[in-house]
Amino acid sequence: MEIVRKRSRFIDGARSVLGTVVLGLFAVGFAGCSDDDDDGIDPPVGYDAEPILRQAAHGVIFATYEDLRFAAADLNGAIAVLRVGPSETTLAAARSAWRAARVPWEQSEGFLFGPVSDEGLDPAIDSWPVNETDLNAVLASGEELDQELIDGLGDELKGFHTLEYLLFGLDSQKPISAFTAREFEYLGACAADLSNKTERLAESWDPKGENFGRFLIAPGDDNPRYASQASAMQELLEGMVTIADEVANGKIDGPLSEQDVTLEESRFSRNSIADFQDNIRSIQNLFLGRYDGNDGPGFDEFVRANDPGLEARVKTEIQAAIDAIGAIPAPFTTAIFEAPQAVAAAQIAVRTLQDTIDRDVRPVLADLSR
Amino acid sequence: MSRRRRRAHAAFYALIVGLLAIGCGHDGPTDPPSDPGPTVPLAGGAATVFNATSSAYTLPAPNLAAGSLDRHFAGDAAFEAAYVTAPAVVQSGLGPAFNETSCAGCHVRNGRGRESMLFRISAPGRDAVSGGPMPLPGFGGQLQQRAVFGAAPEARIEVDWLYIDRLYDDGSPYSMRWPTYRAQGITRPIPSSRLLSPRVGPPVFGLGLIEAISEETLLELAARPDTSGDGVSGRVNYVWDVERQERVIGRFGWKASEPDLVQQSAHAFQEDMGVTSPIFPRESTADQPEYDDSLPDDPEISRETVELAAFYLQTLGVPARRKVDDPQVRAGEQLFAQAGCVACHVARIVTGAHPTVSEMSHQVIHPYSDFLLHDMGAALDDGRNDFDANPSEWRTPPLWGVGLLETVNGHVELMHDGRARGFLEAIVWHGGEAEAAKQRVLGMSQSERLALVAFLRSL
Repeated sequence: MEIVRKRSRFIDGARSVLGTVVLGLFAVGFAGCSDDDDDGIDPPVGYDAEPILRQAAHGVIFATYEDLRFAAADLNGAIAVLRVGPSETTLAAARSAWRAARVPWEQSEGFLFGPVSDEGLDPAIDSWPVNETDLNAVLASGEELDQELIDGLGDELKGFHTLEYLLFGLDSQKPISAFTAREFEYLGACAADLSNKTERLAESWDPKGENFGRFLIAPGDDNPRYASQASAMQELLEGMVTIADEVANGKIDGPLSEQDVTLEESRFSRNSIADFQDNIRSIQNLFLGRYDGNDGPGFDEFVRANDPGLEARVKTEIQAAIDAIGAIPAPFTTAIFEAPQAVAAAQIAVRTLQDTIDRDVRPVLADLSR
Repeated sequence: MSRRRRRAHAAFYALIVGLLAIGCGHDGPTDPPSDPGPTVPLAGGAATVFNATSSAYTLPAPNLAAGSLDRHFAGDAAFEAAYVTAPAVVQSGLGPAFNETSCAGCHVRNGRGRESMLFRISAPGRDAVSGGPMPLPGFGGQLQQRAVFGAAPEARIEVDWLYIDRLYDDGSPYSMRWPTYRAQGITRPIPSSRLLSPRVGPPVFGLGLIEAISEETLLELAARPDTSGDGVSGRVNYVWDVERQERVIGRFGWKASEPDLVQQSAHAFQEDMGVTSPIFPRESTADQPEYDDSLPDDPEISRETVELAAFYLQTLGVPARRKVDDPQVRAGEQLFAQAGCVACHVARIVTGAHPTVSEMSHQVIHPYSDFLLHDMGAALDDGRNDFDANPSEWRTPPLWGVGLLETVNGHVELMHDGRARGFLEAIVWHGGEAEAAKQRVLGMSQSERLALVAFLRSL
């Protein structure tokens, strides 16, 4: 989602940890004046993070995108069924398929780097807000609503939120009788486009092809993306911090602090609570190196080797954030007015997790020397 | 979508920078700053960030005061916001004609655009008041390649590449590609006298430091004698300040045609996105009746929104160099100097007092630019004057952070139109004042060229 109003709590938070990190910082600071120093950090031991990076690239990221691609294909199919036989039943099935596709997408937002960004796929899949004025004009026009038309339209007229707007309506109560033939046509073209985009995304990480994961897995001087395992691991860490920040200080804070439902990202579907939880699960998957039962080496293993207490704390805080978001009385749309304390508590839980990863896990990466 | 890092580990890195300064005997804030030396990777002084990931261009300067950091994050939202067609509840005012829907749409991850190139267009001559390019009747000053639904884009430009194979002096081959542009789907005939200039969105970090360089420093850089005998002689561009209604020194853009970041941002909102502000309250297509949406909604955004977006640009940090002590990198750095590249790609500048963002003031920076106009030769001549910039003159782009371009954006397409596919191709496009330096690079051995690239990748 695009709009955020955020406040930074970092400076306050930093003071509390100042004492614990200041000695390390002296070492770091002086290292900058001396020799062979890539990132202003002096690496001690030779931990090999390759298994973690491999599991992240193949076991988590590619696997998530595979699920996304299949879920988007299912959504495309459900919308085809809806078009052929519009009824409250087929509409409910299409809405479920939209929510189901939303799960792997939100679980992918902890790693919005690589092809999803380089190839402009993120904006094409998840732009917000919907350009309602143009969408209504497209529907009112005589244009053929096919892939070619979709290709020529802006990102704010396609992807998840355009589908959401059409499937659920402004009040999320849109009855089947309110759908027009043109809307069905547009839904079909839009769902096909989403399916194509997610297929491309999965392909771009497929270990069988020229996949982006190879950059993450094998850093080095000849690697155009990552010169060291430390920077590849940092890429994953930035991904986790970024989505925690986005949930706490963007997706939750915007609507909450402005008391404005129009700033809520998945307002039409009332899916925001699930969205936010899946965003945190994205962090959980990367941290644990685990996706859908496939459990491999993750950040947890590396952090545990350095600081077992920290590993346990991150895991606890991840679960606490998921639980706190789940404790918001649904839907989020009304909770910002009726249960702002619960929303604020979720926000604090996510910020706590963000600060822990940003402030406490980050320095551990300095121990990577490869 | 397109989310980028909003909150840096600011205090953490501020401490690192502070400690680096202590460790290296840096001066106090009131003393004249001294250069901490080439082996310290502080490209942006106290505004340097330590990050070699795809987020490297998106981090706030670590020396921002708490209030500045909050405003930076608010500015990030303004920079990222996608605008939609009016009327709309949020982010209303896109178009009617436009090139992109958000700032971040061209400046992906604050880095370089690839396919999102725009085209300036003008008629021959100079505007009598501003001294700038003459708007082309029926098109204005920029070709908008997209439009809201129901309106036609002004044109769509297709690019054709001509590939050229050449040899370095040692016989090794290299290839170049030369772009030519064709206008498709034009709404009205474009006069053959039109002047057209392509512009790729440049990286947007470190701009507050550039804004903090004093006019005296820029004029001193322009007055440097040509000690090398290469014929290098930079000039400042004098451009129009729309609010002060006078000609001032230009700093930003490929031809240094914008005086400051607020005007630059307001202009981009207006021309690139079709979003009007109090600084540019008329749609760029106001004289083209086919784009009249009859909505009395101008200005579509407030001055505060423009200033927030500008503040975000003013307060982004500059990535630290990496591998500064690697022998190959050091050899490349020497070759870069010996070839004469540093005559324009100036390695060290001390900023002056920034008018509004004190964190950018009095910093020792390593931008590898003099921010002046230089004649770049016939191959880069775009045939179009831009204020005082002649068609073959371009502003030296800063090279800081360029070594992370592929990490951030997944490509290394350089120059104003992305024609160069890598550092060496970018060098061989240089001509004019840079001809002698280029000839020295063409005469290098393979290992010397690799060292030169290793140096550039360390930036």
